[in-house]
Amino acid sequence: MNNNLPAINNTNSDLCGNYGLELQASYLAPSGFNYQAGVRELDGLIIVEAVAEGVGCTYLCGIRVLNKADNTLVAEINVPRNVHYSRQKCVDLVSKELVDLLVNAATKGQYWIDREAALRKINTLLDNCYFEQSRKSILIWAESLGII
Amino acid sequence: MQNKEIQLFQQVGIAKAGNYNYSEIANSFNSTGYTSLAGNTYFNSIWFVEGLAVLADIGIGHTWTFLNGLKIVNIQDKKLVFDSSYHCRYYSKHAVISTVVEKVTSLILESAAKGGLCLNPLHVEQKVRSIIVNGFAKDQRYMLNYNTQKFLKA
Repeated sequence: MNNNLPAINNTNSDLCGNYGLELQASYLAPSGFNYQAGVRELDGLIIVEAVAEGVGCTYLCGIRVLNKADNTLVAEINVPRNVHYSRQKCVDLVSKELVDLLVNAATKGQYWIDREAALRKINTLLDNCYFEQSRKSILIWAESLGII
Repeated sequence: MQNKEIQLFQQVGIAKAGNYNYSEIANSFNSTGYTSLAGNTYFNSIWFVEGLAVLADIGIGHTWTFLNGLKIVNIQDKKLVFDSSYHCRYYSKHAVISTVVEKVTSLILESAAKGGLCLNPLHVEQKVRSIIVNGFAKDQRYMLNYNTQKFLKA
């Protein structure tokens, strides 16, 4: 459903914690949107996700990828307006950006990189980073109820 | 709501449980709604089943009601087990239940397979369906209380 924004939200939920992000900053805008920036680590990289939480909708505002060692900005992903937040959406965006960066950097340095192999490797790393905890959690739940 | 029950809302990522009220008609806990300039009303709904909380983002338009997002949280360890957003997906309680059953089943099967465990998909699906359907059918005030007693003993 498309609509005129903004949505009003007076709650200050632990959205980042919920999504497995470590909360870095939050701001409750006069519009009612609760803006939060959260970080997660990916093998020497830091992924910063900016989300806006309204009532009945959560939007992804932007993603930045930093090098953990020296805080260098590796990638900045501008997300178009009205993109609903989900972890899979972030994985797709980050994966595409990192592979493109890697291939471009390699080309400039006159290396050759197998794009498909790089994509598979990055997707595996991202999948573990975003969804490993969920997988463990659901198995614990299933085990406690005798499903498995 | 009692203090402990409010704590359970916090456990699943909602800081202000006071914004949620039980609706007897929907048998769910619904947040205060917001009506946009376009006239669409948005709110969040929560259902509790054994050990899991299901959070839905719902939007009511002029003619249709839409499911904009769905999250499933494990109450015990506060971990988000599933999240998705939808565009132009019609809302019905049946659709929410079916999606939860499908996603939880596939997540269990996928997680088990990654750990080298082979499960019978039919058996898992039947058990998951029974837990989810029973949880949604029970009075949600009872389910809130039940999960509070079970997971917030301290």
